[in-house]
Amino acid sequence: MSVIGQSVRRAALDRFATGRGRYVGDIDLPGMATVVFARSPVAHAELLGVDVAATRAIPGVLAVITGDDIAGFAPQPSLWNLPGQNHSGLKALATDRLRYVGQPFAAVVALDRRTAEAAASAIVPKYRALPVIADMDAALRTDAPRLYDHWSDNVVGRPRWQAGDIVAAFNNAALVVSDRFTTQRVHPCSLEPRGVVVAPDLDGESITVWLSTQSIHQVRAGISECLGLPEHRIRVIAPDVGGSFGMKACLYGEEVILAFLTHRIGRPLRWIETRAEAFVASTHGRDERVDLALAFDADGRIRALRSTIVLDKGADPYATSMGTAWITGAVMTGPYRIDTVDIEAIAVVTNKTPTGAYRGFGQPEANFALERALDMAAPRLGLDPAEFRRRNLVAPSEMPYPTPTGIVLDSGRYVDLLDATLERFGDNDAPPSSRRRTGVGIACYAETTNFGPSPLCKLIGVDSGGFDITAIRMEPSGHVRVFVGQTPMGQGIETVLMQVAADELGLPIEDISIVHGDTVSSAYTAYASGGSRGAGVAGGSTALAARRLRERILRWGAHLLDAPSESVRFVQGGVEVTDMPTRRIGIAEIAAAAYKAFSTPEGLEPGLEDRAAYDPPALAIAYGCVVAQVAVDLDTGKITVERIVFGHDCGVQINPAIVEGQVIGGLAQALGATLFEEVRYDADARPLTLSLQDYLLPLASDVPHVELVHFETPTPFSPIGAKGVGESGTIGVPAAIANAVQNALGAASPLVTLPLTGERVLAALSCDSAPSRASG
Amino acid sequence: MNGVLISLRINGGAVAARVAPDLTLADFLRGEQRLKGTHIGCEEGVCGSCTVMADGETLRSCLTLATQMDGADITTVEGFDDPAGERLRKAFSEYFAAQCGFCTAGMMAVAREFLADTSVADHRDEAAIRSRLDAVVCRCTGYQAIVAAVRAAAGAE
Amino acid sequence: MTGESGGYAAPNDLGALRAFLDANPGAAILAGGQSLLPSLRGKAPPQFVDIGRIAALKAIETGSRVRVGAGVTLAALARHPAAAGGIAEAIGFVGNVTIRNRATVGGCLAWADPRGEIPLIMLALGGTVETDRREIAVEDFIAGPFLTTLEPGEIIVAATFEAGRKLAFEELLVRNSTGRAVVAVACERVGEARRYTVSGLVDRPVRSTPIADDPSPWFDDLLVQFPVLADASSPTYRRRVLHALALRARERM
Repeated sequence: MSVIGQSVRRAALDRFATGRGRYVGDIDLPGMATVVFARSPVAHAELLGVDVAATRAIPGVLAVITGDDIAGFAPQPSLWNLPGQNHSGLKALATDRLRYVGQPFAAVVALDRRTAEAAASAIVPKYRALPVIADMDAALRTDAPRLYDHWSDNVVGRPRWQAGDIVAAFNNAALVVSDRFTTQRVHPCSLEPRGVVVAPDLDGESITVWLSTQSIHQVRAGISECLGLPEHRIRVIAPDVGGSFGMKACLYGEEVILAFLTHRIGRPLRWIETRAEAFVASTHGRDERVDLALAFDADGRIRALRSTIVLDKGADPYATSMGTAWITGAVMTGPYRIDTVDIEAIAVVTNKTPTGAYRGFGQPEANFALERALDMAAPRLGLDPAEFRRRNLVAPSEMPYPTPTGIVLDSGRYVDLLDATLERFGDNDAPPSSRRRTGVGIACYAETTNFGPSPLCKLIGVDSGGFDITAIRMEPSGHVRVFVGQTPMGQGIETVLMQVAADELGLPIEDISIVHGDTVSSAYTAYASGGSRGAGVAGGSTALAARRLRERILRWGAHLLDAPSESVRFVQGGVEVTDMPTRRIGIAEIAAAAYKAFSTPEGLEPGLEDRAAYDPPALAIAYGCVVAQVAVDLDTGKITVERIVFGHDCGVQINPAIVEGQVIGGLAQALGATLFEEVRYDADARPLTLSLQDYLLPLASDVPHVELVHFETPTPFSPIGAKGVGESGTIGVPAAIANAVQNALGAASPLVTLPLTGERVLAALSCDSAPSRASG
Repeated sequence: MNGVLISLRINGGAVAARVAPDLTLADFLRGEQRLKGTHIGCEEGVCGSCTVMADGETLRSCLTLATQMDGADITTVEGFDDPAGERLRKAFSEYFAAQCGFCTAGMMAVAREFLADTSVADHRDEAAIRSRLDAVVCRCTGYQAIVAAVRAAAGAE
Repeated sequence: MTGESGGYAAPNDLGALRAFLDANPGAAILAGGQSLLPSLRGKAPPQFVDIGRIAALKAIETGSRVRVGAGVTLAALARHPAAAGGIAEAIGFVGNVTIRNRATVGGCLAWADPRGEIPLIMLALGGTVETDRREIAVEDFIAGPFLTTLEPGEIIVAATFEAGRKLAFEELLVRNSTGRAVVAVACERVGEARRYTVSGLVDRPVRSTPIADDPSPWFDDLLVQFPVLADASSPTYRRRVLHALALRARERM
C-alpha cells in the first residue's frame, strides 16, 4: 500500500513532546558572548554621530561597532528586483540617516545579556530630526520629502498590467462597483522570535552560522556578498525553527554583523531577539490599499477590472522588495474569467519597519478586495453571491486559462468545489436573537503555488532560480538517506519528502532518513522554503531522484540475479525476476554488494547514489472556497466566527493530516488578521504596538472547529501531482468573514477596512462615518 | 558568587542551587538545569510558551523568580514521563498537535492541569478545552489538532 | 542575601515583613509577580521581598464582612463560596488559568490597572483596603491609572467587603479571553435603583450613586470629571458599549 495519502506521523513531534526540540536560543557554546543592537529611537533623522567610547570601556563589554565600522560591507541584498526599481543601498547598520524606529545603528558585544543590554541602551545617537513620512499618502505627495536622496521620489516601482479596451468596457457596463479596500499592517509573529549564533572556525576565516531561517542557501550567499567572505567559508545551519511564515525567509542585518564580528572577537556570538524588539526589527506583513473597480454586464458577468494597489513597504525595499504588491497585481483577477484589465501596483517607502514576506504574500490583499467587491455587486444585479460566482469562475473546459497578467489557471474544478463546500455547509443554523445577528459569507480563491520556474523568476526580477535538487543515497545497510534543500519550520516537509522517497522506492518509511538544514550536507534549493513549493517542487526533485536510484537498484539486482534488466522488477523489500519469486534478492543484499563492488554491473559505478533537479514548468494553481458563518453582537460590534467550511484542492495530498494542519493554521492567522491583529503607528511613525498585550493573536476559543472539503486535482506541473497548501488558509478567509459580517449586518455601510474592529462594525451599522482613530 | 540558596524538586529529582535574586525560573531551568524544553517567547507572560507546573499548578516561568520556587515541586515537559504525561505525549504525537513545537511544552502543561482538574464536568467538552487552552498561544496549528489530542487523552483515561 | 544590586528576602510573617521594609525602604513587594516582573525589564533589579510565605496573608475570613488576605491568589478566591456573588465571574475575565494561579488580590489592588477587574469589583462592593496602618475605602485608595494612595513602606494586608452582596458583571474583551478589558461594568441592585461601577472609559474605575433611570447621563458626567483612558478604540465607541453592557447588567439584576 502506498504511503502517499497516509497521515504518517512526524518524528519531530516525539522530540517536541519530550522537550527535545533544539532552537537557536538553546545553543550554548563555550565562551559565547551576547550581542545586543542599539536601535533608532526616531522615525527619521540625520545621524550626526554615535559616540561609543564610553560604552567600549564598560567592564564586560568586548566590542561596540557602528555604521562607520562596516564601511566595507556590500548593501543588504534584495531577493526580488523588478527591472527599473529603486534600491536603498542600505547596509546592516545605519550610517548617515535613521529611517525607522528600530533600525539598528550600533552593535554591542558583552560577556552577558544584562551588560550588553545596559550598554546598548546607554548609547545615545546624535541626530537631527527630519520630516517624517508617516504613511503611503504622505509618501506619494508630489512635494514629499524623500527618504532616499538618490531617488526622484518615494516610489520603489510601479509595474502595470493592461489588456483589452478598458475604457469601452467600463463605459458599456451595466453596473460598475468600486471602492477602496485596505488590508492593514500585521506581524507574522512566530512564537519563536529571530535569533542567530555564529562560531569562528579554527582555520581563522571560516564561520558556522546557526540561524532560525527558511533559507539557508540564500543566507549563505547573502552573508558572502555583504562581507566579501567566500561562500565556501560559510556554513549555515537551521536548527528547529519555531515558526516563520515568511518572516525568516530573507537575510537580515543581524546575522551579517555577527558573522563579521565572530573572528574579530574570537568567540562564538549569540543574538536572540526579544519580543518587543521583534515588533520593530522583523519584517511586517501586508499593509496594502487596493482601489478596485469592476465592470459588469447585466447578467452578472465581469467585463473588466481596474485596480491601483499601493504597498507601504516601510523604510527599506530590501529582501522581498515590492514582491507582495507585484503578486497582488498578478493575481488580482482571481479564479474568474476576466480578460480586460488595467492594474497598477505601486510600492512606496515610509518611515516604518520594512514589510516582507508573510504567508499569503500579496494574495490575501487581492482576494479581500475582489471578493468584497463581488459581494457588493451581487445584490445590485439581483443575484445571490454563489450564483454570481458560478457565472464567472473559470470552467475546466477553458483550462489552461491564461489570465491577463500572465498567471495561467492550469487545472481545477472551481464551480464544483464551490457547490460541494456550500452543500457541506448546509444552512445557517444559528437561532435568532434581538441583540445578535448572524450571517454567512463566501470567498473563492485561486492560489499560486510551486513557486518557480527559473525562467519566470528571471522575468519577474527574482534573483534566484525556482528549482530544487534532491540527492539520495542508499547506504551499505540498505537504509536510504535523502538530502533535500527544504527547511522544516513546522510545516512537516521533512516527513512529506520521506513519504515521497519511500513511495517511489517501495520501502517502509522507517528505512528512510532525511538530511536538511545544513549547507554542508543539504542539497541546494534555489528559492528555499517558501512560495508553497515544498511538496510540489522538492517533492518533484525527490521523486525524480528516487526514480533514478530505483533504476540503479534494479540494474544491480538484475546483475546480481544474473538476469536481463528487462526481466526484473521491484517488489516489497527487493528485486525479483518477474513472476519468478524464487529468483529474488533483498534490498540489504543489493546494497551490501554495491558497496563491496566485487562485481559491478556494466556502465555503473560502485555505490548507490543519485540526484535530480526539478524546475517546475509553471506555477501550479491551487484553489478553494471558504464559507464562513459569523455572529455579530449589536451592542459591541464584536464578531464571533461560529463555523467555517473550507473547500480546497491542493492536488495530490501526500499527508492529509499535515495538509489539514496547514489549512487550519493559515486560517487562524487570517482570522486573527481579520478581527484583532494590527501593527499601529502614530502620526509621527512611532510604533504603538510593542507587546503581545497590544498585538492580539487568535487563541483557541477564537477559532471555530473547521470542516474541510477536499478535492484532489493533480497538477501536471509536478512529477507527483502535488500543489502547495502552506498559504491556502490565509487567502480567502478575510473576505469570507467580512462578507459574512456584511450579510449579518444587512443594511449597513460596506466594510472595506481591516481589521473588523467592534468600532468599525458599529459605525457601519449606524451608517455614520467612522469616528476618526487616534493613530495613523 | 553572592546568591540565594534554593532547594526544590525538578522532575522528581532534588535540586540545590545558588541563584541570583532576580533570576527567572525560566532562565534557571534553561540555564544551569539544562532543561531546554521550556521556551521563552515574550518575557511578559502573554504567549505561554514558558509555562511549567509547580505543585500541580501551571505558572509562567518567565514571570516567576527561581527564588520563589524554594521548596516547590516543579514539572517541566521533560518530566511528563509518568502515565498521565505519557498519555498526553502519545496523543500530541498521534494527533499532530504540534507543528513548530515552540508552544508544545506550555500547551502540554496547561492540558495536563486541565485533565487533572476534578472540578471540570466533562474533559472531552470542546468549549471547555478551548477555554483552558486560551492560556497558551499557538501560531501554527490553529488549535484544532491540539483540541483533538486533549480529547483523546481525556478519553484514554 | 543580596547580589551586586537587588536581593531577595522571603519573610515568614508580617512582623518580619514590616521589619524588612523598614530596613530596606526601596524594596519591591513581590506577590504573584505577574505585573511587577514585566515592568522591571531593562532596569536594575530591585531588592525583592516575597510575601508568598506569609500564611496570614493567604487567609479568607467570612462573617458579616469578608476579609481576603492580600496574598490570596485569584484562582483560590474564585473557588471560595464568598466569591459567588459576582466576584468569581469578574475573576474569570482576568487573564487565563495560568495567570490566575499566581496573581493575587493584593497585587492587583496595588498595581491599580485602570482596567483591572479586581479594583473594579472591590470598588463595586464598596470594599476597603486594609493596610498595616489603616483601612482605606477603595474609592479613596485608587488615585489614577496605576496610582494608589499607599504611602511609602505601607503594606496591603487584606481587602474587605460586606458579605452576601450580589453583582452582575459584564465585560467586553477584544478576543474571547486573555486580554485587557475594553470596558467593564458591575451592577448592583439598591432598592429600585442600580449602582454601576465601570472601567475602561476614564482613567480609573468609578462607582455611581444609585441611579433609578438610564445611566447614560452619568457617563457624560464621568467624561467631564476624569481624563479619558487612551485606547485603540475611541471614547465614543467605549461609551456606547459601556452603556449597552450596563443595561444588560441591569436587566440581569
